[in-house]
Amino acid sequence: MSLKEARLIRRLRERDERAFREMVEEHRDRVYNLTFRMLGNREEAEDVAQEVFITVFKSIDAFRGDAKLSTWLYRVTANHCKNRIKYLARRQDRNRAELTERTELSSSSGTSTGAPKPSPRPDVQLQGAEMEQILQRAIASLDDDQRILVVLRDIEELSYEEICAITELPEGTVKSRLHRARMALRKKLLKHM
Amino acid sequence: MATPEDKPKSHDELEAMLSDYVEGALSEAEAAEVEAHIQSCSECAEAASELGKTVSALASLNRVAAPDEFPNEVAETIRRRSAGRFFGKRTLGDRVPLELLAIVALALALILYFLLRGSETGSLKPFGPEHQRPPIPESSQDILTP
Repeated sequence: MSLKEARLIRRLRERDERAFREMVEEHRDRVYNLTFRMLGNREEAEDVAQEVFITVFKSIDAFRGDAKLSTWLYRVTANHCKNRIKYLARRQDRNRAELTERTELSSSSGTSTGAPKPSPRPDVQLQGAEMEQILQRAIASLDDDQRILVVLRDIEELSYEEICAITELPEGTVKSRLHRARMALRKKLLKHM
Repeated sequence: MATPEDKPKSHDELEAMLSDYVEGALSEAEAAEVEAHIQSCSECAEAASELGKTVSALASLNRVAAPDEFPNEVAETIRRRSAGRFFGKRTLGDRVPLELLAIVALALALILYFLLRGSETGSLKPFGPEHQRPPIPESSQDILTP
């Protein structure tokens, strides 16, 4: 852990509001992107992302500092997402099929922070947005354990070391589960490629 | 005598290595093994190609940004739920940026300096009847005169 991060954590433990805002600013997109890709819905993603930061701030004293703050944030986010998915699945009026149906086009909302993909032609642009929706729907069809690995590895581009620290799984399990997830995604995306 | 490493891998074992192969995470020997298998197995060749496209497609997904108001909303939620008790007592430095306080303090110090420097009395108090030095009484002796 860097000196800067250690200082931030000390200030967070002192309930320093400014430190809290610094932490949120630095990690907001990381947390939000993970929640959105896991839940496929902006409202749910925003709600869960808020809860993540609240949980982190409330339990900062329990953070041992043996991992990076981002690793811990990802771990808390993954757990919150899984709990929310279970909660939504249990609800009678909001089953998982509906969740995959309600995935939104993130690129159409104008809030993407990734480098814009060059698409001068309208039909090419539509393909990009359509592909994003198809991808998101495919991701949402995976079970939670596979979904989190695909998001962390293939979207967030984290190392296996970090993924193992976040999921607390051995590398072999992460890799085999990820492979099965990609094979499942490949089947769903076949006709679109 | 063949070691476990020398024993040829099964189709399932090689297929399980396709993700690592696509990511370029295999050793040279392992990659060569997978490539040799792909040459003779159309199913795995197709799977490797499609896996590559899948991973590329996923990597092309833009990162979705949190709404601009997100930090304020989180802070407000904490404040509301804790009835304002959760965050530490806000000092002047929390309400007003420290940089601004430093600039104001420096400006005040400079003003004071120039006022004192331009003052005839060497203080901020101007000359006036009530501030004139009282005259020395004639009866008082110069202590240096014997």
